[in-house]
Amino acid sequence: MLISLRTLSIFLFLVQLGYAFGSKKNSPPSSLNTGQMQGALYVDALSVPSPGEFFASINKVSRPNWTTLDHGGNAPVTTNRAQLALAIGVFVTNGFIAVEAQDGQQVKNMGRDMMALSKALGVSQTILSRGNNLVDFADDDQWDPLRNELEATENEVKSTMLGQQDHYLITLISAGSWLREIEIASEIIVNHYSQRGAALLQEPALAFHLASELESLPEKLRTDPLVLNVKETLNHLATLQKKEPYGLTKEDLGVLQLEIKKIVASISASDASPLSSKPALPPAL
Amino acid sequence: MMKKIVYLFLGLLVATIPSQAGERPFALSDNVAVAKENGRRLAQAITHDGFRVRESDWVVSLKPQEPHLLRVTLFAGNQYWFIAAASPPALVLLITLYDSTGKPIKGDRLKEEPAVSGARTAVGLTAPHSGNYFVKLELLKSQGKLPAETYLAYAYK
Repeated sequence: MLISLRTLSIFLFLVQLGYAFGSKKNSPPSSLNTGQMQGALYVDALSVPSPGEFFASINKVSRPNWTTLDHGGNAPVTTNRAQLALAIGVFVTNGFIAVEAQDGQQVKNMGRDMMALSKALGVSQTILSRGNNLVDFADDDQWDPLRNELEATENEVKSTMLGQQDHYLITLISAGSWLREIEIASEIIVNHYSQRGAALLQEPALAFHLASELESLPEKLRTDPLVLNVKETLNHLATLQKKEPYGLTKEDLGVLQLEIKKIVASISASDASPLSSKPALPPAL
Repeated sequence: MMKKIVYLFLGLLVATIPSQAGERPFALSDNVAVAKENGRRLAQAITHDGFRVRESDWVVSLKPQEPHLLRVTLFAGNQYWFIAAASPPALVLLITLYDSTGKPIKGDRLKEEPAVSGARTAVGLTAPHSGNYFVKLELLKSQGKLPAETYLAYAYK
């Protein structure tokens, strides 16, 4: 016999040993280095949280009365594509606020406004059925399916934009949505301040990222006064949050809320409105 | 003796070569559908526990030993499950979570090994604080070297 039983046993033992040491499944993962973290992918679909997640977190810390919060106004009448995209983001968040408030009529109004905004951007045909679903779920008080449908509608608008070579508008939708989320969250936390509540808003990396994405927009959009204001507000938000890693003070949060409220009002203002004259940035805190 | 060492060396060499058996081309769209279906079935098992699965997902062509690292934004106090599923030729998928400093997080593992083709896995955590986290998605074992279409999504409550 060419190989003895003993040699075969040693061989099998060594193979087992090789698998044990070679298997990554059994070895504890090592920490990421700076280069790996900087190179991590940013995928809009997963890297940007949904308003529902943020609000779920707020509901655990504070018990806000969602019905008394500002649900937002009507869709702006404008031909400015940047503003329309930002407004879609704001209105998606308004939809989530209405769902938290279990206000079916407001969800329907928001759905109608989103259709109008999408139509102005040339993407309404693909999401018409979504609009109908929103109405049906709102009529039946189906709040969880409504959350899913709102996110699905936003996704469909974004994927249609990708198909239409309007991919740069996707960042604007995410930026509009995030600013509106921060505005409403700040209002809730300021009214019932706790450091634990303020710490929930600590997402400087997201604000910095959205601001840097706006920097890479085509020149016409990048230099739009409203986009410039949105970028500055996001940078300001991120800088403040970095400065106070355990949560902003009540005073800072209040001033920040007013700043964001103004920018959200500008996004939602129609062309003829005085608000659309693009306000200058407020002084830094 | 020398002969035995040579045989032993050759034996080890053969043992470390990945099997090429079963390596065959799969239609891309079919594989994406299989990966999504596997992932959604796993997600359904989780939503019974009050979790909401996000409508947004990500499908990537994953090669063995070529992990993808993704940024996510989580909120303090929320519970999360990250769900991944891949079509054949994938055999073993691994998700590793890291905090904002790059330190690995020991998440909960779903004890569910269903008899489906391909591979799937899920890792859960309760976010201790709001901020940036990292998700590493890797294909640990595959039939051959072909990439596998891999679906990633997450659920929260």
